[in-house]
Parts: sequence; structure tokens; C-alpha cells
Amino acid sequence: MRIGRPLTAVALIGFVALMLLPLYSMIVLASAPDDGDLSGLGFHGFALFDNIGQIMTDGRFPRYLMNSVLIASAVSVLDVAISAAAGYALARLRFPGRAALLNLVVIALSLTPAVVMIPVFVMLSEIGWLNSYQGLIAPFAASALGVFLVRQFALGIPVQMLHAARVDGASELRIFLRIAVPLLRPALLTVLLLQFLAQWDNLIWPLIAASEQELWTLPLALSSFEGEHGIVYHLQTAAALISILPPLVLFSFLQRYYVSGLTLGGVKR
Amino acid sequence: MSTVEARAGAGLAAPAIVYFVLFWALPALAALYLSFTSYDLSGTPQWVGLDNYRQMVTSDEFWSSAWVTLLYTVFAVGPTIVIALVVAVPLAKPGRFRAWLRGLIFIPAVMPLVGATVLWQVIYSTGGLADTIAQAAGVGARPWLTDSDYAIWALLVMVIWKYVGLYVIIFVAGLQALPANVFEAAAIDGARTLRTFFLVTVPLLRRTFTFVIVVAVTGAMQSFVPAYLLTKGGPVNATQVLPLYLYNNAFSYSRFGYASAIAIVLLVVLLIFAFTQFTLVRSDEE
Amino acid sequence: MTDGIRVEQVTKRYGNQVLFADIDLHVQDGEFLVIVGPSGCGKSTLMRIVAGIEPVSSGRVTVGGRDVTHAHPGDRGIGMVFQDYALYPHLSVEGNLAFGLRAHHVPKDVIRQRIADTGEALGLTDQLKKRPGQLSGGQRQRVALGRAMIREPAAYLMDEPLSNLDAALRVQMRAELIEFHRRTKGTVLYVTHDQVEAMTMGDRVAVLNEGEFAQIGTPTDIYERPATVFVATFLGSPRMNLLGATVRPFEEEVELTSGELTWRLPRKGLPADLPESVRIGFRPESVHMRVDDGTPAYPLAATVSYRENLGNESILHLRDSTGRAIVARLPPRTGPRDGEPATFQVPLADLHLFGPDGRACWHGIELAADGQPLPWSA
Ligand SMILES: Nc1ncnc2c1ncn2[C@@H]1O[C@H](COP(=O)(O)OP(=O)(O)O)[C@@H](O)[C@H]1O
Ligand SMILES: [Mg+2]
Repeated sequence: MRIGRPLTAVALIGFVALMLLPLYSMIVLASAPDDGDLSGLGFHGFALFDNIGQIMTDGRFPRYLMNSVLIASAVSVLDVAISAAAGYALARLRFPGRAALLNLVVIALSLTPAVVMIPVFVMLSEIGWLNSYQGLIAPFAASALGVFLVRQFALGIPVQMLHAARVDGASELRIFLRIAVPLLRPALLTVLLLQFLAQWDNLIWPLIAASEQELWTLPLALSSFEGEHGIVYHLQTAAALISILPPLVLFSFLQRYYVSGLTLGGVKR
Repeated sequence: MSTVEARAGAGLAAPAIVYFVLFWALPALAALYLSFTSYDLSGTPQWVGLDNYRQMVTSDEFWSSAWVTLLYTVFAVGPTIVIALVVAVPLAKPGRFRAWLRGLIFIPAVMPLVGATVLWQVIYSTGGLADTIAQAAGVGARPWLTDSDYAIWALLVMVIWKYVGLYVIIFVAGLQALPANVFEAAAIDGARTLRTFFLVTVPLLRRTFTFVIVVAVTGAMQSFVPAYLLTKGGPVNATQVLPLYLYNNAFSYSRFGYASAIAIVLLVVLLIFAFTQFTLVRSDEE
Repeated sequence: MTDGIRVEQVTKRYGNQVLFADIDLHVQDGEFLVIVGPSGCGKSTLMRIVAGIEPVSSGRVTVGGRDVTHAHPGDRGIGMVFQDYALYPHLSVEGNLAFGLRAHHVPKDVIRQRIADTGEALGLTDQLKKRPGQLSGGQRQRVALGRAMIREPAAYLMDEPLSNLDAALRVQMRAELIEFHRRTKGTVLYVTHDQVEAMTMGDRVAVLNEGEFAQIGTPTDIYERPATVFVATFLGSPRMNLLGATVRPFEEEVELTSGELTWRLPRKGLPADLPESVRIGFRPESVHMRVDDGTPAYPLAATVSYRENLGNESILHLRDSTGRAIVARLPPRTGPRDGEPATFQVPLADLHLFGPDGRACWHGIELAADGQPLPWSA
């Protein structure tokens, strides 16, 4: 034990260093002026901002970035709105179809997206929504996880408080907006964050549903970087670096909502 | 009153109901139907009965894909969980320094997977970081992604790196939720660190383990991006996991019926796994 | 001016379980009426029916003379105080008070004025900007009351508003609520399972049990003339002693026999159809040490099983010669010690007789009302 402590500390620090090594090399690679040294261990000049500038001015990268921001924002806002309303209703209102919806949500939670991917693709192609913003947004406009998370959280809102608001004369909509939504804020932020990160990182759906480059998102652009630019690893890494920054920033501000979303059900009873 | 409540509830739930019917319930049924048809998007699906499934069980490519998926799942989940737990135990103790380390370990988990995979593409390229380290270790450079002996392990190293931080955080949360007096009691009983770990910590973390295993296994079985981006399933299908096999059949060869059958099989396996876990946890709690 | 609250022929069912059938209750204008009963008897449900939170299965509810049976809770002219306050935790005290007014689109300056008035009336002026989480228990209670008051309702509903307070605060808030009622002369329907609250706060008390009102009356009435065994034993602590007895006419009197004990009651004033087997009830404070002063009396010989010395009084758990348990409440430092035998007596005027159906057939206090001499009995 007595010798164990510093040993543990050294081992831990070593492990963390190993974890961070790829990140360090990412910055090195993204800052390289060319692909001369790919080891990513030492800086050879610092061209990060030139590289970023080149990506942003050359080709359609700004467009992809904008598409990503637009789609991830639209999806996460829609998901929060729909999940908030449905999760609250499931937890705290009695209405016909409640049990059916809860069953749907629980089933959807255990389905893999791979199962519904093909029929949704066929459906959207039938109605002409492939290669459209709505076709990239609508399939993710709500989420089973979002509804479920909000519902679990809303079960903590005391029924008496809602009764109090009714006696106060508030309409059900007013109760939802003025009482439930503020109280559900942590859950809603968790859903917002999780869905934004998921969409920011969504490759397979745009890959299927957006063949037109006008609609490409960052993941799609990154996955096709070679096709568009040839093998230029320092630029590709710089582009990847750009795609990594918004989630990291978002995460650093909303960390506790992310962790609470993660551990829901895992740790708590 | 209750009609007011019913109307409000139905109104608030309506968008979600429409969404889940349109994008989950109907598509899931449609997928089941499509799996019994032959369909290439032009024309209408042709009923072929069990042909797709028959074809699947006789297809070498399917079985190789299933084997790769199994390998990938076992070797992604196992080492990740072991490493995560070993790291989480010392990191779960309070202290600013440890909190800081936890934050750093978590960074890869927060990175978008696509961006991270693009980075590893460079790491595994000729003369990249992997080669550099292998040379320093005296192993020498290797064609990491283009040799079927190495490709899947290269993928796995990346995936473990990407997700280990996530499970460290979950284990830390689980450990911190454990009652401190248990450890004090174990210490008073004179239990050594390792004994405490196996006889106290691990059994107490059962719920967390279950959760982590479910999340990790279902995640690994559905993993698409690393195989698609790093190796495109190659070389010679050595990294063609089932989701990639499904994707290729549907969107490269337009065999939507056959691809749907793969999806159904994937779903059934996931459900069996989830159900087994569920009953195990239940019997645990009794 | 108004009519208080009326519950008429109200039935409430959950599935095929009937919680209450065709019950009636009238809370007069300006009256403080307390519903008391064991937990689970449907007190809260009845109150929620009046509030409109729970629909009736059948029947009618009026508030201030207006039929509100199917009105929205917010349109019934009621203010409600809930058990756990149910304050809105994300709103300031001001926001909590204003919530109902805003929902009714009351003009801003009126809202401001009413908040100021209510805050002042409840001594909350310095707390208006705080959130409920920053307030003490008593202050939260006052905010809950203020939220009910601010819309100037025709009637107040209060569902166990004091049950979550600690003992000292409960006494203080009880006094504040009584004072509030004196000041405002509001109509109050108050629910509690606490008999002290029922006895001290209510102008009238309604005892609810198994889906019906066992008795509705003033606290004194209910204590001195309990209509049923349930009422008799539910109110009063320790509970009333009950002994089974048989009734036999004996010359001009009626003789009651219970084990080795006999009592003689004057036939006059007793109902003619007194059943043959009855239960005799007397409260612990009616059991006194026997004083031989020449009045006719039947001694009650008993042994002390154990005594609880509470400081201001002593509770004696007795066993009579046939082994039946009887509880007596005596002044402190009086009476026998543990294990000692002693002789007691109970004033005839403190006896109650209950028929086999549990309904009261006679109360000894009628003797006092008749101006008869009060013989001792035991
Ligand atoms: N929604 C409901 N469905 C079925 N039974 C209920 C419901 N609400 C209350 N009850 C039953 O009605 C009875 C009375 O409850 P309540 O009015 O809360 O009692 P009290 O307030 O007197 O303690 C309880 O036995 C309870 O189980
Ligand atoms: Mg109650």
C-alpha cells in the first residue's frame, strides 16, 4: 500500500498521457504545412491557421459546416420540444393512448436504427424527401431516449403542484409551459446536448439520404475528403479538428447534463 | 376536468405519437415485410418467402460477417470494461487532481466518432504514429489497415481508445454511489487492496456492470463508422461487420429485401441479448 | 351573502370500489368545518372533488350557491392549501402569489397591489423576492396560504396543511390559522387526521369513516355525545374504555352486568327499546380514585399493570378482577403504584351506552342536563 500510492499515480498519469497522445498528434498533424512527417510527434512549423483558412475558403467546407449546424440544431430543438411535451404527458397526464405511446417508446428504445433505416429510406424516396433538409431532419425529430428521459424526470414533479396550478386557474398548456418546462430544465438540456452531439456525428443517414453535395454535413464531408481533395492528411486532420471543437466546447459547459444522461438507469435505481 | 386533461395530454403527445408511428412502428413492420421480398427500389417488392433467410444461412460472406461482428464485439467490450474498471477505482476517490484526470480521459469519448476516425486514418497511414511507435518498440512498420491479419485489431485499438473514457466515467459514478462504510469495514477487517477490489467492489458494482455491458455490447454490435471509414470492410471482408454488410447490400447492391433480412437478424440477436440481461438482472435482485 | 360549500348526494367510485355513496355536507358561510377521519377514509378525495381535481361519479357540488360540479378547478371560487405546500419551486414568493392572477389575466398594477397587501397580511413583505427553497417551514406555509387568499376565494380548502411541520411549528401555525379565520371570516373546509386540530380549530367537526359521516357537530358535542363507537374511540386519547354488558330491568331501575360488575341506572331518561346487550363506554379521565362519601357507588377493583408518568398526568393501565384492561388518567403523583391493587369509581354522568350496531343509545350527560343527582357508579 505505502509504495502503491505513488506507483498508482504514475500509472494513472501514464495512462492519461497515452489517451491524450492521439489528440496531441492531431494538433501536430493539423498544424503541419504538408504531409512530410505523419508521425505526429513533433511540430515542423505551425500552419494550423493557414490550413483552417485553406479549408474554409477552398471548396464547400463552409457550406458543410453550416449544414451540420443547421441540421443538428433543428433536430435537437425539435427533439427537445417533442420529447418535453410527450414525456411530461406520459408522466403526469391521463389521456387515451398513453399506454400505447409508452409501449411504442420502450419498443423503439430497444430497436436498432438499422431495422427502420431501409423502410424510412424507401418512404422518403417515395415522397421525394431524399436530398432535402426535411429528409435529413424529420427522421430524428424525436427520440425514444429523449421521451423516456423526460418522462423519468417528470415523474419527480409532485402531482399536488400541478393540482395547485389548476386550482390557481392555469390551463393545461400554461401548466406545461410555466411549471413543467422550467422544472424539467436539466432533463431538457441533457436531451438537447445528447441529440446535438448525435446529429453532429451522424454519418450514415446523410450518407444514404443526401447524395447532393449541397446538403452534405461535416461527417459526410470528412468521410469523402480524399475523394474531393486527394490525400492531404494535414488538411483532412485540420478539418477533423474543426469538427471536434463545437462538441468539446458544448460539452465543457454542459458536462453535468451529459453525465447525468449517461448514467441514467446505470447507477440510480 | 378529466376531459380537459385527456385533451391536453393527447395534444402534447400527438407529435410524438405521429413520429413514432411514422418513423418506428410502421418502418419496423415494413422491414419485416421487406425481409420476405425481393426489392431493388424500382417496381414493387416481390414476395419470395424465406428465400432471403435461406440465402443468408448458406452465404459464406454472411457467416464471415457474423464472425467478425462477434470478434469485434467481444474484443471491443472485454478490454474496454477491464481497463475502465481498473482505471476507475483509483480515479473515483475525491480530489481535484483526480477530477482533472477524469476530465482528460473523457475527451476522446466526447469527440465526434467521424472526426476521431479520420484522425486514426492518419495514425495508421504509412509513416504514421502507429508505425512510429511500432518501430520504436522494435516491431517495425506494418500495413495496419491493409493487411487482413492486422486490420480488425487496428480497428479495435481505436474503438477501445475512443470509448474507454466513457466507461471510466460510468464506473466512477457507480463507485461514488457505493456506501463508504463498506470500504471502511473492509479496511478494518484488514482486507488488502486486491481482496477489497474482488470481494467488495466488483460484487457491489453489479448493476453498473450490467448497464455497462448492455450499452457496450449493443453499441459494438451496431458499430458502423470505424469499419466503414477506416477499412471499408476490407481487406477481403476482414472487417466487414454486420451493419456494414447490411449497408453494402442495401445501398451498394440495391438488395433491399436481403438487407432487411439482415436487419431483422441483427434485431433478434440484440433482443435476445437484452432479454437475457434483463432476466439475469431480475433474478439477481430477488 | 353566500352559501358556503354544499356537497349533495355525492358518490365516488374507483372502478367498482365505492369510496362513498350519496353523502351530504354543508359548510355554512364563514364557518370553519373540519373533516377528520382515519387515513385512507377518503378525506382528501372528498376535498379534491370539491376542488374539481377529481370528478364526482354522481351528485352535486356548490360553492357560494353556484353549481360547480363540472367547473374547472380554477373557476370554482376556491383557494386551496396543500399538504406539502405544493409551492412552485422555480418561482419567487411573488411569482407564486401572482401565478393564479396572471392565469386569470388580472391587470399588472392590480397584481402588484394584491401581492403587497397579501405579503403584508402574512408578514412576508421581506420574503417576496425569495424562492420557496430559501424560506423556513412556517414561511412556506404562509406563502401557501397567501396563494390561496390572493384571489379572494369564496371558500378555502385545506388538506392536512400542518401535517408536515414539526410539533412546535404546528402549534404556532394552528394558532395562526385560527387567527386567520377570525380575521377573514372565510368559509373553510379543513381536512386532518389529527384529533387535536379537529377539536381546537373547527366550529364544527365532521367525522368521516368508511364512506359516511359518522357524526357532524361542534367539537364539544362530538366529544360529549359521540354518535357511534367509532367516533367515541377515534377522538380522545387514550381512547375510551369499552366494556360489554347485559341489560336487565330491575325494579325502577335498569341493571347492567359486565363480568363481576353491576351498574344501576334510573329507568327515566333511558330509551325504552334499550337492547339486551350493550357496550358501556367511559373515558380514561372519568376514572377516579374511589372516595367514600356516602353516595351510592359500585366500586371498581383493579390492579395496576403499569403506569406512565407523563409529568402533567399519569396514565394507569389497569386490570379488573376478570382481567379486562381499563385505562385511567389521573393527576400526577396520585393513585397506586405498579402492581398495586386499588379501588376506582366512574361518575354515572360520564357513561355512554352503545347498541350492538355501534350507535349510541344513551349518554350519562343527559342526567346532568336533567338536573338529577349524580350517583357514583362503577
Ligand atoms: N386514483 C385512485 N384510484 C383508486 N383508488 C384511489 C385513488 N385515489 C385514492 N384512492 C383510494 O381512495 C381511498 C381514500 O384516499 P384518500 O382520499 O387519499 O384518503 P385520506 O385523505 O382520507 O387519507 C384510499 O383507500 C385510496 O387507496
Ligand atoms: Mg389525505
